[in-house]
Amino acid sequence: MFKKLTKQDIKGESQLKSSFSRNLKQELIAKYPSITADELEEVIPKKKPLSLVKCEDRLSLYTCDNQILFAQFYTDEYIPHLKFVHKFSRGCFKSLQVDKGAIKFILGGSDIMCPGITSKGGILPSDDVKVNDLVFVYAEGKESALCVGKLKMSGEDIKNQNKGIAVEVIHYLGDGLWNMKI
Amino acid sequence: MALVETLYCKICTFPVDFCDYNKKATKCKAWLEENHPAKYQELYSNKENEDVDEKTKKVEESLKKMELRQEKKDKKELEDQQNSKIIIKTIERTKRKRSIEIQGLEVFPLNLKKLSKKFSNKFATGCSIVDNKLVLQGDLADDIEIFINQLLKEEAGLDDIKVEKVVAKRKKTEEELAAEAAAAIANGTSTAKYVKGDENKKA
Repeated sequence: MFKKLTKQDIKGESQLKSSFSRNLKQELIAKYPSITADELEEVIPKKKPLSLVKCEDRLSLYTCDNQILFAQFYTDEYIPHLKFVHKFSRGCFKSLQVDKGAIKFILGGSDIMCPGITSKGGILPSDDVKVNDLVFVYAEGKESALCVGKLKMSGEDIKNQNKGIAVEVIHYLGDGLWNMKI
Repeated sequence: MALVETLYCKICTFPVDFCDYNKKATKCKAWLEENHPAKYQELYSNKENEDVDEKTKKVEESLKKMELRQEKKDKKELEDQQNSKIIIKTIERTKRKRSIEIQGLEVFPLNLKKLSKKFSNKFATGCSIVDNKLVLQGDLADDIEIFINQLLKEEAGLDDIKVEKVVAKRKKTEEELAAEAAAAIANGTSTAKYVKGDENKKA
């Protein structure tokens, strides 16, 4: 989705109120219970104001200290930037794992197919992850997350059908959002 | 629980464990070996001894191909940069007022917007971007030539880029031009570039 995002898409930047950052933090903690307030404070310090960068097609980027933290379409869910994801340990998020063979295609921007998850190196998402939830994808033998996507099939379906798109990739390493510098 | 610190590669900006899936893997490896030898050992040392199965071999091969392609592309880009010319054009606006137009900067890894700010700061004039050209107010061609050469050397590591100065054609300036060119020839080497540009223009 961010494949073609470039600097030219930026429309304007504005600073956000501190109350917004407070609300955002609360929301995040409610969403990812394993993240503590202290950790979040380190990533989004109170002293440094957040700013909102508006882009083409109703895309908003939330940045702090010239680092992109989140992206958002319309008023949908916040999509965390991978650098933000990398700061927290893997247990904090709803995650799944793909095998080695899939990495190359994901980094090329393709969606994740079922076999990449069901094969030997992959790990299925846990049962509490529902369809259309935001999932963070890790890879076999690698430490860091490599993409953020939306689950298109439940864990059960992935296992049984083993065919078709399992995760719709939104943001991956090396796409426009990753390479964007503000 | 503390925050996880991820090491990012300076070359490809990926977390280091994904470097080998990038198009610049060889350069990344060299960088990592130099700057973070411990991490390099961890990632690459035990790999060579491992038995690789058919599938991973295939992946590695295709990655290598990708890298090669990227290398060629980079090379071509560099060549393009080396061959390209920067043209500094002096435009006469009113009788004694001139503005400068700089063409051909977009090939280089420079940020035009930042550059324009830099110019306007440095030379204390207005500087704007018009279709990938920088337009400066004021007769500054000589200063800018020096500045651009310096800038390219510092920021892009490129040397010997051709910078050409052109004066926009106008009846009034033609006489001046001839006089200047004659003066340049008399002066000898120092303004040789100017003469060359002038000849090109006439031809």
